[in-house]
Amino acid sequence: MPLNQPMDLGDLRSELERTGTPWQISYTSMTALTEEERVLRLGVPPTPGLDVEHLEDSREAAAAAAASATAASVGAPTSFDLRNVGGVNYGTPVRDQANCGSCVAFGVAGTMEGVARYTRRASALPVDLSEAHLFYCHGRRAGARCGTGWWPDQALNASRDTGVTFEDYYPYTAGDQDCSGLNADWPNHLAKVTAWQYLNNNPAGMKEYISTYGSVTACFDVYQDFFSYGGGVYRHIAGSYAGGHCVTLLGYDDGQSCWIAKNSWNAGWGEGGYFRIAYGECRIESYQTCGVQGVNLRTWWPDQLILGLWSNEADANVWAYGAVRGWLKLDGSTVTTNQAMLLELAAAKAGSRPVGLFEDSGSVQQLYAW
Amino acid sequence: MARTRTSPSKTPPAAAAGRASSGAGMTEPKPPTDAQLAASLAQTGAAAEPTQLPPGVAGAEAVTAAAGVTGTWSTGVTVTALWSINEIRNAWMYGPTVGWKKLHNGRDGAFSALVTLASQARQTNRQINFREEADGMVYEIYLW
Repeated sequence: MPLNQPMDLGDLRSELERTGTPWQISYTSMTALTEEERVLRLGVPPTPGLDVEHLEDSREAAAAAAASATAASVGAPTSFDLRNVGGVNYGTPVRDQANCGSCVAFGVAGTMEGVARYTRRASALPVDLSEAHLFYCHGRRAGARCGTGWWPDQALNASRDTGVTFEDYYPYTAGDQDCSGLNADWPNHLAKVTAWQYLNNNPAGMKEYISTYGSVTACFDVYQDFFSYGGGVYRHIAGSYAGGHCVTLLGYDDGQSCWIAKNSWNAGWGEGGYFRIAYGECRIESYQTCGVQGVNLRTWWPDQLILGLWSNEADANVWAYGAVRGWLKLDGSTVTTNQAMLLELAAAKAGSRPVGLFEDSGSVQQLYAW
Repeated sequence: MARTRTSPSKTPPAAAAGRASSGAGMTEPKPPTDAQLAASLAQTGAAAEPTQLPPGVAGAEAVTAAAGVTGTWSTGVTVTALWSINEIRNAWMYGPTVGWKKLHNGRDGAFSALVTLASQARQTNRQINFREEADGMVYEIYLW
């Protein structure tokens, strides 16, 4: 990646004051880094064929389009924040990509985690996915390196077709790796995207996806002033182009005309690791935006207390609510198997005893009732 | 032995003022065809999966309020009696606040699951939420 010209923070402060201080400048976790280190905190290649000098040509039109594509027009709430949906936080913690251009892995994994929790209405679901698996295995096979970055659509295809293991099976550390750190049992401890679609230039669709599924993945152009963002609704005020970046969008607010995003620069940057960016800024709606419709899991859930059981008039349609896992369908391949699982779980529930559940693609395949 | 009743006629010992159902769905059922079952599911708007959350779970109130299909929901019901007879899929549950309710008698698998949930509620004294349709039968049960 090319090195960028540093910017004078005094000039930025003056420019912010001149424009009415739309956002606050701050000494962040990024401020002290060298330009070489900062550029590795990004990681999306430039849009092919697009001149950097003309990236902001359609800025006003994009802002107007995103503002006019109101959430109400698609039946979505006027604002949404995955961290506070009726008082419940379905978000997962802010991570740190550190000294590697692996933002795509963090943006995609963050989206998958948010979708996994929100679509299950399971705010405590322990779904910490392995960015290392995504970037150093799937990305590496596609030619991605810390110094080159990657694309969300390729990461999502890999997440759909092969899947992403959990963090404990391949913990992330920054720096190019050959995938040798991956636990050999990873196919049994896995998250898979069920389906995804492009949402480029579709702000209404972005709002619909965020409020329905919890999150989307988005890329945007980073300018030098963004590294010093300390809060407020970001707009590019000053500084030259630094590179492309990928994040998880987990909210929006039509009242403030902004998106709410989770970055991967640790919690010491921005608003506790998050930021708000104005509609139409930095090609946030058009660079590359992808919506995920669901995440299937294949893993053991140990020590679950069964808090609820459910069935209706459909055959072999019995679900159990695990205290951490949330609702999970029991295998429905035969009525007899379904009934056996229900009886064992009911026995555990009656005794307030923990169970172990093996989930695959949305249903219990095996269980222990202790 | 001749059959004499297809719905429970007695109230549980503790329910002095209990009321028996008027007997909706009392006739011995014939298994519905796939088309009939599909039509029934479509008509009631039955959810393919649960939407309510256990009491005390974050978000439970909001989701519970949003849930609901065409039937009538009864919530926080305690089951104090059960009844069944030697007829195909004919079992009932009793709650002091709702009286006798017949469990939906469409298919063996679904019927067995509903009976299991009602029986567990009786055994453990845990509360249930259930959906009753216009035919007077219980089509859906949450056991908490």
